[in-house]
Amino acid sequence: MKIKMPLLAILLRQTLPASLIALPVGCLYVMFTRNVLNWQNPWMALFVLAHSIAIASSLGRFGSPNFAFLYTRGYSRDELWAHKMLGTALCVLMVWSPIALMLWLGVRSAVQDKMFVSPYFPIMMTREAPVPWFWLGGYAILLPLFHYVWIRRAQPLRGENGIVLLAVGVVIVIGILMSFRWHPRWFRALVYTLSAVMIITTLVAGRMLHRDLEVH
Amino acid sequence: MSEAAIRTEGLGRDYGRHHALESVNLAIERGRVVALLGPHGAGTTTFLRLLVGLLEPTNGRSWVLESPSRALPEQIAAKIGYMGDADEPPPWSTIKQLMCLQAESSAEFDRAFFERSMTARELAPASRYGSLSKGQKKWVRAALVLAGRPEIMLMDEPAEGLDPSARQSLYDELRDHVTEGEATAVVATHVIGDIERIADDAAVIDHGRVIAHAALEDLREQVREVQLPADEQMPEFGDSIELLGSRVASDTRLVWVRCAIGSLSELEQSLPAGSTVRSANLETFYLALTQHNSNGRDNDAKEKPK
Repeated sequence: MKIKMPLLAILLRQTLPASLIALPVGCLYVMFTRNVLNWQNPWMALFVLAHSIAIASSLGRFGSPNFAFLYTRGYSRDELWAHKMLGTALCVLMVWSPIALMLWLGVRSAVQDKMFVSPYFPIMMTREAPVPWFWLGGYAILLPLFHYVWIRRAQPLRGENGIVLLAVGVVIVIGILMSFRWHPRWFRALVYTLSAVMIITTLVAGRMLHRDLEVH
Repeated sequence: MSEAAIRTEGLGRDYGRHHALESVNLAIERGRVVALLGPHGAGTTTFLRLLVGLLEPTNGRSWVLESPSRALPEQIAAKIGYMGDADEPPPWSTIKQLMCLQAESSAEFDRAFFERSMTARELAPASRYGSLSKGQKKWVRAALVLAGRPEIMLMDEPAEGLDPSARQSLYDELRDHVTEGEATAVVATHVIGDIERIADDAAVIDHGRVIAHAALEDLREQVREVQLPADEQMPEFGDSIELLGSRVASDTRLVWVRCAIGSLSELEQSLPAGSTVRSANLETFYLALTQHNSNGRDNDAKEKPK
C-alpha cells in the first residue's frame, strides 16, 4: 500500500493540538523533575494516558462532518485505517523522541546538575536510559486499545459502552501492576506476553471493524 | 438496456424508531443524470449516504459499480465522487491541500480544470476553507468532485448557496462530464428548475419511500396539469389515466394526472367544459406527488414503481 502524503498530512494536522500541548508539558516535566525517573513514575504514566486519549479522540471523531468528508474522498477503509495508524505512530514519535533524547543525550542530567545541583546527577543518565522505552511501551499498549474503543463505538449497532469499561479496566490493571515493587522474572515475562497479545488483537480487530464503522 | 451503475434491493435505514428510508428498490443505468427529489427529511440524504457506504442499511443492500456499498474496494472507491450536504473539510485546510487530497485518490484528477474553476471564482490556492463564504465552500467541494472525473457522482444539494452563474456552470460541467465520460450522476436537490435542465431521470422520495422513478422525457409526455372550475366535481377517469393529486387554489381546482401513451384524447373527453389541460414540468410533477391533496388522500400512500 502506497503512502498517501496528503491524507497523512491531514490526519497529522488533526492531532496537532494534542502534540503541541503534550510536547512542552512532557519536556518541561522531564527537564525539571528532581527525582530519578523510573518506569513507575505516575505523572509520566498519566501523561502517556492523556496523550493517548487525545490522539485517539482526534483521529476517531466519526460523528464530525470533517470525517464524513475525509471518508468520501475515494480512499478505501483499509487505506484510511493504515494512514491513521501511521499518523498515530508519527504523532507519538513527535512527542516521545525529544523527551527520550533529552534523557539519552544528557540534557536532563546537565540541567539537574547546573540548575538544581542534584545529588543524583552522576547516576541519572545511566539509571534513566531504559525508562523512555517503557513510556513507548505504554503508548503501544494504550493507543491500539483506544483506537479500537473509538472504532467500536462507531459501529452500526450502538450500545457498545462495555468496550469503554474494558478499556478503563485495562488502565486500572496497568496502574496496579505499576505499583508493584518487585516482580519475579516469570511474572514480567507473562505481562509482556499478554501485552503483546493485546496489542496484536486490538490492532487486527480494529482494522476489521474499521471497515464497518459508520460515519455520520 | 445498459448495465446498472447503481442498484438497491429493499434498501432501508432506521434511526431508532424512525424509518428514514424504507425498502427502496432502484436501478440507475450508466450515463444518466438522475434528479433525486423529496421534501426535507424525506430520506434523500440517507439514501446517498447509504450508497457511498457511510451508513449501514437496516434492511436490504446496495451496489455501486457492482460492488457492495459497505465494502467498496480501493479501485471502486476511487471512482465515486461524493459531495455531502453537510460534510465539510476541516476549516484550517487550504484549497491546495484539498486538491492534493483528492488528486491522490483519483487517478483521473483534472488539475487544470480544478485550477481553472478556482480562478474563475477568484479563489487562491492558499485560501483556508474556513474563511470562505457558503457559496464558495460549495463551489470548492463541487469542483473537487468534478475534477476527480469519477464514474459515479453522488451529490447532495450541490447548488445550494451558489449564485445563478455558478449554478449554471456547475450543472453544465456535470452534464458534460456525464455525457463525455459515460459517468452517472445522482443529484439530490430542492432547486428543481436547474436540475430539470440537465437531468435524464427523476426519482421522488417521500417519507422514506421511492414514490416515482421515471425518465423526464416520459413524464413530459404523460403528465398533465388540468385546471377545473373549483365548483366542478372531480371527473371520473378511466383506467389509462392515473390521478396523481389535486389541490383547490382560489377559484380553480388543479388536478395532476398521468396518462398512458395514446390516452390524452380520453383525458380531454372526460373533462367538463371550461377545463384546460397543460403539460406538466418536473416541479409540477413533484408537487403533485408530494403535496397532500385536497380530497384528503395522502399522496405517499400510492406507490408508483417505475
